[in-house]
Amino acid sequence: MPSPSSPLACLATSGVQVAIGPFLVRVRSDLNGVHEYLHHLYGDFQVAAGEGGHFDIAVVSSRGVRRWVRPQANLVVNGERPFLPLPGKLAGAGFEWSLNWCVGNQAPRWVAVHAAVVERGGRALILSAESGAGKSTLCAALALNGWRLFSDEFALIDPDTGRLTPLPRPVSLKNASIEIIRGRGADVVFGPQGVDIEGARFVHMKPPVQSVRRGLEDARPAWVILPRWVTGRPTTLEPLPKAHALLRMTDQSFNYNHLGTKGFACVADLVRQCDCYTLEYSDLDDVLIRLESLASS
Amino acid sequence: MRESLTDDLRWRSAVDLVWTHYEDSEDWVVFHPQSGDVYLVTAAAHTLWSLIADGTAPTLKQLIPALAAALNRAPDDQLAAVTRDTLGFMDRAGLVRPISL
Amino acid sequence: MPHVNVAPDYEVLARVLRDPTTIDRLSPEAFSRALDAAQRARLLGWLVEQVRAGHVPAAPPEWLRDRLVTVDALTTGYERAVRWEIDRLRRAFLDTGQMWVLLKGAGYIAAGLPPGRGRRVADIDILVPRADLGRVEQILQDNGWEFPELNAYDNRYYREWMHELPPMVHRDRRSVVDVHHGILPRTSRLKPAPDRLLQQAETLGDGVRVLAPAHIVLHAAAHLFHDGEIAGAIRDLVDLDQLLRWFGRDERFWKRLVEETPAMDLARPLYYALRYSHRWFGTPVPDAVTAAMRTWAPPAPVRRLMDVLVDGAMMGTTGHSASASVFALYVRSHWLKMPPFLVVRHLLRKSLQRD
Repeated sequence: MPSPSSPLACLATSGVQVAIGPFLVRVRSDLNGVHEYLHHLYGDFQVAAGEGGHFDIAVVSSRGVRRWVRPQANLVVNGERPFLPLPGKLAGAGFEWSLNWCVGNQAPRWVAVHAAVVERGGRALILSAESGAGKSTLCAALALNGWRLFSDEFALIDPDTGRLTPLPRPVSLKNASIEIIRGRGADVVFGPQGVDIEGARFVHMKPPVQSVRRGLEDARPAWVILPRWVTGRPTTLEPLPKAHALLRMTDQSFNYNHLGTKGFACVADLVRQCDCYTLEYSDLDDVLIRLESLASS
Repeated sequence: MRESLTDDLRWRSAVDLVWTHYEDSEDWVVFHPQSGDVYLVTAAAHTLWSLIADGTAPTLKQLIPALAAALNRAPDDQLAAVTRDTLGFMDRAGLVRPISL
Repeated sequence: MPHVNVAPDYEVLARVLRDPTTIDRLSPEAFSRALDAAQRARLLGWLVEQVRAGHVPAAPPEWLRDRLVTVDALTTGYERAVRWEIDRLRRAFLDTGQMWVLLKGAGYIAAGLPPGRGRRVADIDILVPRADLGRVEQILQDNGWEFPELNAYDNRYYREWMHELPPMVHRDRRSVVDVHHGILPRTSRLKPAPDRLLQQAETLGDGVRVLAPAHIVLHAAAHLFHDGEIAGAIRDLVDLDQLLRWFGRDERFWKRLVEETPAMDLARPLYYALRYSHRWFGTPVPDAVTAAMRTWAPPAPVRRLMDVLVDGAMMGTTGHSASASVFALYVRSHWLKMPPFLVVRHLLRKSLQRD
């Protein structure tokens, strides 16, 4: 249990402000699970006691009997309750899901596209895929292999500059990915493992410290790739018509049209600047080599 | 969509559409600010739209031969059916609108 | 461990509603809470209008400046979405010769009225002649709206007891249209005549119809004091204040209002509307109207009870006595809609459904 003087001590009272990428996130919780989760996975982030922030996330116990018997975690985001109460053990994950909801739906100053992003040499690689296609595993593997993690959930595009802003956060891994990634780096740190509503094992990987320290360094977009893990498939990188990439990106963004024509133009310009591909693979090591050579060309 | 309605109507384009095209394919992407929606359409569909957007307020009857000429194809039944369907799609999406009778 | 307080700060919102210059003196954290409470009370559009008019806390930190950009974009998006739905309805009714009139929020937006700015509208409400219900159903179905799967109970609730069509959902956009043939349910004690509303409806530049100004106000009053659910109470009263100030600049409006109120059998709701709008927001009401109001007033004990209930509703559910008011207001509105023996059965059924 952290000392009373640590910033997290205020979690259950006035709350804390965590600087996550460009956002100041206010968090309050009376649940030990959230305390532990933040302590383990957000140790490299700036945390201060305080109110106010871009988003206000409260993960709170239920009143009455459900506070103690099969305890629940209630997620309250700026006064709204976008989720049903969760089992208490999923409180830490509940914090991450709440943050996803905030960034994806609340039309902040950036256009947010649901995608993973990694950076190398000042250039950003955007990975856009459906759930279950292996995007997070690939993203985590890249982040442990010479690429800087920007985010495993959101590409944040600044509509004025066209550049991508990092949003380093714990990477969410499920089922077999957990063992795959655990075996890839001595300094991989995982948070508590859980089982989600659908029965999938999940864990959050602590973001590499460099991704957090360099969390304010943006990058220009260079590649958009739609990856898909397919059993037995050799690494196949094929050009994707940009019009298709554009449709995919707007499809994966819930807030571009809050910014109207400016938001759309932002995504259209990004696609124009990037080389766009589809990627199918089954060998993670081989893909890493292929992408590394893409980055040096 | 009632058949007779589509035939009699004259059409014009919605305003403020944002059309995007890249050199690496023939497809077009259009953003419709009024609805907030994005569509991926073929070059032929874009051509159909531009025949409406030129301000001549054509009817479907006039569009079929005009499109055929622009695409260098015969104005046969198949083209007529596809034109009608595409016009219907554009109408539902709000990319084009009928001028009231 | 102390319990974390996640209740919306309606108190700061109420202060801001009564005097928007309060915003200039709020801390950034307090104003952020006001934004959250406004969103819950569906008044974010109203609050953003105040920001646009220049009311902002002094020296706002970056996170608050970013929040302001966000809520501005969000409320612009709300209005855009409604205007698009109205456009699709125009398309559906094009060249059918069908009479249809926009009500409530969609009407405010179409007519460019102050309560429409940045407004979040859940369902589009339209009014049509009762005899045309079948035809309107057909037109909407031809254009992509559908009836959702309803169980037998809910179907009967709508069609037999409430004499309404169930809401129609668009198959692609999932947007909802509520088709009305009257502004209060048939089982209500009060009988405002829909024909009068339709006859006096006004046509806007793009061909869309809205109610006449006096009827817009009367409908808003009836909606709040008959159908009003508590979460809507704050917004509905803000709407009334804005409508009365906007239309009230023309003295002919007040004359029409006084004529139409008894003609539409809505004297009691309008009495409450004027009373509480003035009480909470200082809405200016001409002397002649105040005089007419006296004949519409309820007996003093009823008026005093309503004062308590409305004050409690305006302040949100923050205390035990306020919760009682919430319940009382809800039960009252249901009683006004349905014969008593139906009320008990319906409330029971609805509460089972919620579990």
